[in-house]
Amino acid sequence: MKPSAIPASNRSDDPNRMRWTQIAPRFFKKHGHAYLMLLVPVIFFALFSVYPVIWALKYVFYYYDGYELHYTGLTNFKRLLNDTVFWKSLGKQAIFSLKIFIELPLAFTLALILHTRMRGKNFFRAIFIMPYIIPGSTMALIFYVLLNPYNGELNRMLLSLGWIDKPVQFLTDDRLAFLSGMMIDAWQFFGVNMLFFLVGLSSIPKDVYESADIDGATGFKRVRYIALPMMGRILQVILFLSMLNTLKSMGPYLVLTDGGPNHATEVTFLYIFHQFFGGRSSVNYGYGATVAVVTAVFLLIVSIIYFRLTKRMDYH
Amino acid sequence: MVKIVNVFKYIFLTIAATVTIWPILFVVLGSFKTNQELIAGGGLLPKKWMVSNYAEVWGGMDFSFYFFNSFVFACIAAILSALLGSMGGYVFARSDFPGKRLLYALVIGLLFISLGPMTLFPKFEMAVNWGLNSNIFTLPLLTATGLGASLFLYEGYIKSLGREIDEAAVVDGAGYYKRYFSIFLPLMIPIISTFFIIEFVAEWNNYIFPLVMTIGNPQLKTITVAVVEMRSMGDGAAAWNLLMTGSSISIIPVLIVFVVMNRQIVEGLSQGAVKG
Repeated sequence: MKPSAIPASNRSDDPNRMRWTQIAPRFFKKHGHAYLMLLVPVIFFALFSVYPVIWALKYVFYYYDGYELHYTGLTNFKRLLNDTVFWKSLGKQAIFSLKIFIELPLAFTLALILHTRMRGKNFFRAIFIMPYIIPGSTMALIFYVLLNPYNGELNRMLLSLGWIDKPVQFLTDDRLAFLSGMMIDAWQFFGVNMLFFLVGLSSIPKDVYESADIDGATGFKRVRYIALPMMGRILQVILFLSMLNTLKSMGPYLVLTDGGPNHATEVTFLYIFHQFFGGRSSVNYGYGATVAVVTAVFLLIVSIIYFRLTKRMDYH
Repeated sequence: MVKIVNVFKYIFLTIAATVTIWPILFVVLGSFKTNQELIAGGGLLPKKWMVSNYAEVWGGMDFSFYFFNSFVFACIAAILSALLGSMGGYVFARSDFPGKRLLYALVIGLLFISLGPMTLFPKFEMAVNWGLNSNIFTLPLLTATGLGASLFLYEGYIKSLGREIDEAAVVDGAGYYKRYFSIFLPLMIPIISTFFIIEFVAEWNNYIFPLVMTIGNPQLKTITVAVVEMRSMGDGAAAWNLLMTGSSISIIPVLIVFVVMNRQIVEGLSQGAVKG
């Protein structure tokens, strides 16, 4: 007889079938503890990690100014297509990420030096990490003071050295303001990258170096033929992480220039911030959500391309 | 030859270290200068040590208050993050349950989605609706992400502890929660304290979150917000020395934590490299 032919009332007679009332207690006895313990973390996760993403995905289709809410379809996307400030900000964000080419070579050089057996290693290491540990907003403010054209310390030093004849407008000139932000960001982050390089270097077994010593490989050769290839995977990770982290940061610009002069330092993530908390009179949070979502999609594409490329490199 | 190389090494390191630490020394030492000296320039060391700057900023400009706010904010956020992370890590390392892979995929997936400062807005609305931003003790709740990148580090740590501990505990009659609280939590102290310190420093330094959340509630301002606000408060250059003092009050606590807990902080930051 087919099981489906059994009337529902007789099904419980089948010894292989359990009633829901039997399954549930067993299920909870087996997994209940895990669920109960995960309850609090998952609630936080749902509220403060998942919900903002869902919020964004909903509001891209809406007009919302804090009071009024109505569905507008693709209007926000159309506005984005014509938003030159946004598209320019993407370019700025990309240029801003080039600061890793100041930061990473310096970090790698310092890591190579500190990896050797020497006195004062921990002392120097601590100093280089220090900018990363202290509040970035405070330091951005300090650099704002240091770069000031009138009483700023840097201008005063350059003047007294005779390298310049009049104060440099570090923060009011478009390019200089942008470059200053890049340098400040590099100052802040090179130390932690140096630490990552040190981790990579110490993952290379000691005997590799010993056998290289016997073969007579010294100095630059040790770096070129041992350190770089053997750190391959970690090097990729450091490069990618610092690039991605720069692509999704607003750098020191919020405090340093607040995007000025005239949007010159308004990188995309600062632009997103201004959409929500810019203190403008007419805001559309739905449009802010659109900017953020489209930017996130671009970053996702960058990540995927990167992983594709490095995968191919690994096979060779 | 080796000696010459060594000398160059130290010269290079010293130059790099000087450039690195110069802005920090500028703040900390500048905080003791008079305003005139700061504006006139000169050496790093103050000619006359104005300890009174600190009294003025600490008492007269409410910095004791902001300091308290920052401390509470960073402490609660760090405890929450360490506790939730270790709970999640324990469950993920020791149990298989329906939905585990889905949750895993969600956590990893969200790590790749970067909406940046946008996420602050729905959180801000939640905070206002639920009254979480009316009190410095509830404000840090909003910083907790529950399950994040640290989940995998906690999970790996517990997995590395070995199953024998569980088996022995089960024989002794310890239940699921008891095993977490009386066995794994103590065993996890090294990793928990490392994450606690890293998170504490990160939240102490957090600027943008408290900036946004305290928009209508100036009494909840943390020290980082208050420091940046000092710029627009005085009339121009009138209070640069006090600005330095305020900045220095925001920097010195983390510097002390950094010096005292150097090994743990360096270790914790290095784990960040491995996790990628």
